[in-house]
Amino acid sequence: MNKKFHMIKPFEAVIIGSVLFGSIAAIFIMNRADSSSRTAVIRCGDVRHELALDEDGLFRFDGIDAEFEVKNGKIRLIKASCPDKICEKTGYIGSSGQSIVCIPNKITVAVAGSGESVDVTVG
Amino acid sequence: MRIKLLAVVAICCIALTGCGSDAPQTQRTVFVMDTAASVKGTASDVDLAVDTLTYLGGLFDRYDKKSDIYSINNRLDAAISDYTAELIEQSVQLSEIYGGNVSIFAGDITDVWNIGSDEPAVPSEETLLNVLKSFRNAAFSLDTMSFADENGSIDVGSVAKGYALDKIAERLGNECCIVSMTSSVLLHGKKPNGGKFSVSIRDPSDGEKSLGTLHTEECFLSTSGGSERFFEVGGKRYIHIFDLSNGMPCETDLTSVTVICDSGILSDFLSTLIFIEGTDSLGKYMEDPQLGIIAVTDQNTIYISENVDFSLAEDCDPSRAGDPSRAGSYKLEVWKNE
Repeated sequence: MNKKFHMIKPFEAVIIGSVLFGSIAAIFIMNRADSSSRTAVIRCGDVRHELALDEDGLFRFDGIDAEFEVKNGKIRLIKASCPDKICEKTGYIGSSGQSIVCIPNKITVAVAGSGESVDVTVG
Repeated sequence: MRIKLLAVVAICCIALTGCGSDAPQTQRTVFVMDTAASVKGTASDVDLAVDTLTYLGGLFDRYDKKSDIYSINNRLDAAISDYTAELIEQSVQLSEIYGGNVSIFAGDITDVWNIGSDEPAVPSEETLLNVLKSFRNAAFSLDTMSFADENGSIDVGSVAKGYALDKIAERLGNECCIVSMTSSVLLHGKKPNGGKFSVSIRDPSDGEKSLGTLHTEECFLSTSGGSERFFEVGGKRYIHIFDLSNGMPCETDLTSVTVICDSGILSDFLSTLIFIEGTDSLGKYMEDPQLGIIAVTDQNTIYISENVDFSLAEDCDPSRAGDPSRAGSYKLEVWKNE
């Protein structure tokens, strides 16, 4: 008898199902809004910058002699020009209340209080 | 046959995961027009914005000997850039439409209140009378781009940032780009993951704190009052926004005004104007459907126009039992004209 429909074997169903599931899950994981991400406030003398911690990357700012790395919602100071590098050794911070300080360069990094992360501050 | 079917399904699934990927974003910050300007977007958009800001900053800085504004103020016979001419023309138009409480020709007045200096002091009455006379007698020709005589001086501080953002927006493509000049902001395009932009409005009484969050589609916004320069003498605060009728820092019952609209220069100009004019004049701006307004009074009321999507910060709303030690918990009210 000619079968009009090819019955999917269980093994094939498992493969199709898991590829479908995996790729749809990937879409959600990549696109989800990270509601727990925060903002870091970086200061050096009169200079003040805010940096959202929701996107990984390396950042530099005019007037601040250091590089900052954001990864997985946390920030750390790298490439400081101070002799003792205590600031670099502090490592990543990501919760409000934590801070990194570089005394010779007068740099402070603090994670702003809880609340949704914003795109920009005006005022 | 079975293998081909499987392969087609697998390829379709893998292709789906490509959706939602963004062009790589970068962020750069530069010091220009007396402020820290921060640009976030694609690498080429960021470079474009930074180049535009740097170029225009060079034209408009009245204290830079190479700038157009310096040339005009010092009565030098130099050619003026089309951008400078356009900025001046647009500013004159705005003063004509909205009234003379904001004027770019009050440079002498801002000069004597030299707040950036090491020892700021209140100018003498004689000094103030002289600069007021110079301002009132100033005659500027838009044809020659020059003053008729020694009266008058240009200061574009109230419009330059908004104008610069307009020029950047004109050059940007379709990619999302955010340009912040602290008191003026451009939100361009759509966020990569959809949804509105979220903007924190700084608390005018505490720069570290937020009044709340505004949600908006692409637009320009400017705020006056919060981070203005000021100095204190004898317990009194002198803010760097001036009442042009007497040459003094303005006295107003507003502490912060944010204007949201589709023009950079208009948002910049109006945020200063509405701030100076106070709550008595708020009605007509609140009613204008082209504008979104957030105005904060010295009684800690935040008035918003109906078209503004703004929510108070959690620790701002007294009814939500926020930080009791926080001075000035704010009350939010949608403006209704009687």
